[in-house]
Amino acid sequence: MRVFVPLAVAYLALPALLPPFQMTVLGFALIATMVVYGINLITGRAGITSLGQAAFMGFGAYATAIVSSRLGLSPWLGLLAALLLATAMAAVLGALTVRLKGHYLPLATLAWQVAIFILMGNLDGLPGGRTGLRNLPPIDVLGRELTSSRDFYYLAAGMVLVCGWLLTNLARSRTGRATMALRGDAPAAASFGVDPAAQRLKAFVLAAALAGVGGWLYAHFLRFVNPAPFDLQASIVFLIMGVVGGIATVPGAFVGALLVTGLEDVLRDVLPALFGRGGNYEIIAFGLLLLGILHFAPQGLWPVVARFLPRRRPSLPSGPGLPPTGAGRAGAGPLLEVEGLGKRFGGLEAVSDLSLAIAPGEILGLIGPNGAGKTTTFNLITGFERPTAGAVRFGGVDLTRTRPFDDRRSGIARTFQHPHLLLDATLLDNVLLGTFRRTRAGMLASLFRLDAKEEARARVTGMEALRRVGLADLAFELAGNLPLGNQRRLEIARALAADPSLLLLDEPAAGLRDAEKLELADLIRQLAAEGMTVLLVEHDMDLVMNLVDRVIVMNYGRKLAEGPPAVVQNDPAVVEAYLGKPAEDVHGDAEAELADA
Amino acid sequence: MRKLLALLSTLALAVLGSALGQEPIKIGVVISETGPAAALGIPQKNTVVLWERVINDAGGISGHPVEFVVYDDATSPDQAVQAARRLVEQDQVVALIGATAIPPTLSLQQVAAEAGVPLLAIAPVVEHNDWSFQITRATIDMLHAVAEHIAQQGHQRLGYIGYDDALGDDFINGLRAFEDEYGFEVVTDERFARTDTSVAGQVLRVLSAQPDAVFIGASGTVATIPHRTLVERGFAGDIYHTHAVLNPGFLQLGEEYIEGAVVPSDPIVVIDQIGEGFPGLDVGREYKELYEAEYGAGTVSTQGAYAVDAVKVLEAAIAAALENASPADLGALRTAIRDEILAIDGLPGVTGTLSFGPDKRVGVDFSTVVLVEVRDNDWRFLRDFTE
Amino acid sequence: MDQTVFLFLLSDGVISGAIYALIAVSLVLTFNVTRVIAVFVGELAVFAPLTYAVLLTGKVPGTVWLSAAMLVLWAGLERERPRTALPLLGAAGATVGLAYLTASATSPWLLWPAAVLLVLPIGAAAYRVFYQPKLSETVLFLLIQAVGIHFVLQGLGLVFFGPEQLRPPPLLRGTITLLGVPVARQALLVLLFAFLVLALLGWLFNFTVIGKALRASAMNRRGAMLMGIDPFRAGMTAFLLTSLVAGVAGMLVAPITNVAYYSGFSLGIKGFVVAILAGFASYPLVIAGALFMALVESFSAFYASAYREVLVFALILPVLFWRSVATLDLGGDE
Repeated sequence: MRVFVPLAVAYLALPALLPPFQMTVLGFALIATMVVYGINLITGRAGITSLGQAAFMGFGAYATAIVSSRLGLSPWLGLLAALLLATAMAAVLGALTVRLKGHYLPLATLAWQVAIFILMGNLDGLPGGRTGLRNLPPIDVLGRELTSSRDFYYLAAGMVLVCGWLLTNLARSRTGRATMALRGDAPAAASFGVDPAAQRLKAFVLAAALAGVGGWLYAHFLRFVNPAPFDLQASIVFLIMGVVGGIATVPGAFVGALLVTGLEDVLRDVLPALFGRGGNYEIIAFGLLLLGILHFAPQGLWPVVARFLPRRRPSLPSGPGLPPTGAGRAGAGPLLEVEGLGKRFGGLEAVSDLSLAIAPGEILGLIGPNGAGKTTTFNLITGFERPTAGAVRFGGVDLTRTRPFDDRRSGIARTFQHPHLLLDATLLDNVLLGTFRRTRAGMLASLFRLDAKEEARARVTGMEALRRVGLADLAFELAGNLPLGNQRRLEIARALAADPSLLLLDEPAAGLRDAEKLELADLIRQLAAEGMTVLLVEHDMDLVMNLVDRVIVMNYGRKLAEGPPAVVQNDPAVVEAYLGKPAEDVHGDAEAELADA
Repeated sequence: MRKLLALLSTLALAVLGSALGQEPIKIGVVISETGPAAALGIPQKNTVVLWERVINDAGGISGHPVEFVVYDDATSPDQAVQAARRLVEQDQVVALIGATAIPPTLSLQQVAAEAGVPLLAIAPVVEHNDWSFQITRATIDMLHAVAEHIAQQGHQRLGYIGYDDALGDDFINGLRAFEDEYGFEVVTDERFARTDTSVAGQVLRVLSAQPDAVFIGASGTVATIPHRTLVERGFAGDIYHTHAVLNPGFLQLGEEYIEGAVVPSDPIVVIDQIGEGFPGLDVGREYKELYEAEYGAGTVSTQGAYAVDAVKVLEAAIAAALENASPADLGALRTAIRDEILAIDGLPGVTGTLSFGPDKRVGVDFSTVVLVEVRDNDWRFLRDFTE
Repeated sequence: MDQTVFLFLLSDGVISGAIYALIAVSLVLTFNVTRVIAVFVGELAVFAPLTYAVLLTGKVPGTVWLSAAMLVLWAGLERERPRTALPLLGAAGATVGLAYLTASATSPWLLWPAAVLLVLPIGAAAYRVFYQPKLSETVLFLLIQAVGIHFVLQGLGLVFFGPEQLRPPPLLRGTITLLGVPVARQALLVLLFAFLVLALLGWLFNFTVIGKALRASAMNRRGAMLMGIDPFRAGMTAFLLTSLVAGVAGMLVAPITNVAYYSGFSLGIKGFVVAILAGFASYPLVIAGALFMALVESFSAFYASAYREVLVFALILPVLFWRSVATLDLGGDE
């Protein structure tokens, strides 16, 4: 409500305040906003830098141009065609491109942007080749033809506002969190059930749909389409709009679009007054202003503006939480079984013939000197590496070759050696990622806020998890502000939010001070007492020996010893592995060898 | 210095105009000062700036000072629309001149029709609506001249290599229209981009079709690249260019390679070599003298000529319109100007004699086209078509 | 197609490939050390020959003033450190002085290196002014900054040099015939230079301390700092090298292909494509990628010229997949 009223007033009042010519500029800015919405979604959140959004805008524009001009049908059918074409092309191109890693992805987007642009120009028949299609009909709303800039503004601004609402809903939903996790926290997201490629594709298709709508608006605003505005340069400008406005925000799209579009207009006024008609300096001035904005507001302009807006105090979640998962708890027998597990990297056997079993409610420690293969083992168990030999079973279900986000892994949750958190998000938002497998709402449901109930429950569960690790009063702090010890706890809270029966902790004590380590040990003991099964990899001997029920020692990828801490501690082979042989023994061996020679 | 003068003169104009009680008449100009068509647009802008002074020094139009408001469209239809709407709604111009390239001109036509403002197109668009007229000689007329030469030389196989954009399309489509009548065939359609660094593959393809002559559908200095490659590969036949190469840069960069190139042209380029009796000679000479005094020797071009002809048409039309309509009623004045343009018949222009009518939207016709060729790195008049 | 045509297209492709490789190498060099994808490298490449062409006519082009101005700006930023600021001011003066001195000269021996030197400060100063305060921003941010610089430089290029192409005279005139195909001597010079640059960079990065320091900076800035390597210095060295390579490449290529104020952009894009194909990492892959792209371009220009770019980019896609296939990568950094 607080946001709605001022926006509604601005929406209705604006045409009265601005001269008709500025409405034209605003019209272009609104069209660009639709495309930049998509860019902020995929680049700002999912981390996909796309240099091809103008191509999707072009698809939208051409689809409606052909439908309304060549086929003589209503522009609203053109909108449908625009959406269909843009999303279909995105599904195809996206399926091919989103799996690409690193810089290959933006290059692929550049590649098809250029290819599509050239094809658009070369197809002479239906799309009209390089001259394009003219005399497109205006959009008709309830009998009124939108020919003037003002009429068009109402439609365009309305659509921009609606899409802004949809995207804000999405940002606060499970899909939104999963998408954001792709950018900085992808391995963690995967371990909690997010399929990165699928998420990226969804975001990609949505972005293309938005660009397609932008294209539809453009076509009926100009009433003329040709390939020229849908080239690589345009894609780059859209990206600039996104970065300048605030790449990870929703309102930033409009801010960036308005700034860039408006700037061109302002420069047309200002520059001739300063420099006369002699030269043409618009692009120079634009470049300098862009650099200036980047220098003083590297996060974009919207975050700067947002600081001055009243911040809403988030409400504490209340009510019921998510239903428990009950995964993998029933039944006798070991919870986790590993048999003959092996991993070979070329000639190196990082792990070989490793077998272990964990009983429900146990705390099992996995230790060994550096390079023993502990983290590799962890990764093999959690699906981050593929075993070259052996098997992994959880509650009887074979997990050996499954990806980390596979549903069969539900019931296992892990933490990471270096905290994989979203530092720009709140603690609660980070924890909520853990509930991904426990919630169902898809992207469409999230857009329209149909997931409100489920989301509320998830937030309660998240708070619960924070309470269990003692971080509840920091729920709305940014995770990046936490000291390392608390960040590790946060990771554990996130894991708990998944309601696992097996908790895998990867060096949870690394980098902690003594007091923090003791608190951590207490927490783990508490969790085990509540029925959690824990497998932990650790270096700190004191911590491990006083905490775990059983210990497995690894060395050179193999199991060296196994048993209760006291027994393993005194095992000579273990001692040797850690400390090496005592000097006298080495000397003695050498003497013996010489004597034999 | 020039910029300062321009600024001061604009201010002076505004002050003077209001002091005299005669409002300035504003004419909107949308051309490409930047972007791929900049080479063609800059002479147009220079002409407009120059002619504004010429007109005002002579007392303006019917006593009203004239102001040309010039915006750059960066060779983009979007920018052209924005510029045009601004001119029409904010600057309140009585007429529009523009644009340099075809796609922006198409969108200008739309704006002109919606706003009821007469548009004088200085790009060779093919279709016009009720409000748009064309000053630029139709591409088809230029190609007609080339076709005449082809037939005259007895060429039967014509190779084509041109830009991969609307301009390149226009040229080859135009040439194909003359195939039957003049007994030749366009045997290749190779394309390249203005920014390409090499056209070796395309040229080889053209040569492999064994043409008698080649037509290069490009502009300015860029056109020297395929020409040079053809010559280096041993092609000895006639090489034709478009009228968009008629600038000093082409001659300079082409060096000795472009010797003998045949180019259809407007008379302005070889105005000193044309015999008396040719229509528009005086007007052309006057323009050349004034332009080159301002911008340097040898800088006169066909693009600038189109701009000045557009200005002349408006000068005549506005003067006539002011007898019946007043600047106070902008809509009526614009309509009156449009009607006066339609009534223009036999106006002497630099490009030729300008005439318009309800079915005649292009001002000049084929009769004032000339053919020129490159001799000793300069333009040499070859023939005209005044019969 | 017959053999001559094939060889001709091949030679054309190889030469274009050398050009793309040089640009790509500059991009890779800068990116590896600074994480900046310097898309304005195209402008750095064409400014030198454009400057050269104007100097030959006896005038001093605007690029000289731009260089000097940027040096002065840099000096201004260093005003708290007179030992750095004063030499910079001196360099600014020297730049202008050199330009006026050489503008009236006619010897290419003097003008050629002068042209390269006169535009060198632009890249270096750009790094100091725009990138030094932003060393830790994301790659996307740095890229958009580079785009901004590209706009400014290209816009200035139009102001300084006008819209038409220029063609400076070549260092080596004439052609020689290799295997029945005429090849411009200047083109061979381009190939030679490309080979030298790649060999030198390979040696530099693998066998010298400076090179290793640069690589260290790229891989781990903090670690390199702890080892006494100044990341800013490393970045500056990289930018200077890049400007130099791009500038000389532009000088060598301009007599063959003509240059205009807009030529830089497509060079930059093509170099960017090749750099990515090479994973922004390996120099031998740069050569392979550049040749691949240039040859596809050259041959498609013959077979289907209207669609040549489509073919190039369509063929790049499978290469991207192939390069991208390997271990499970779940995303993360841009």
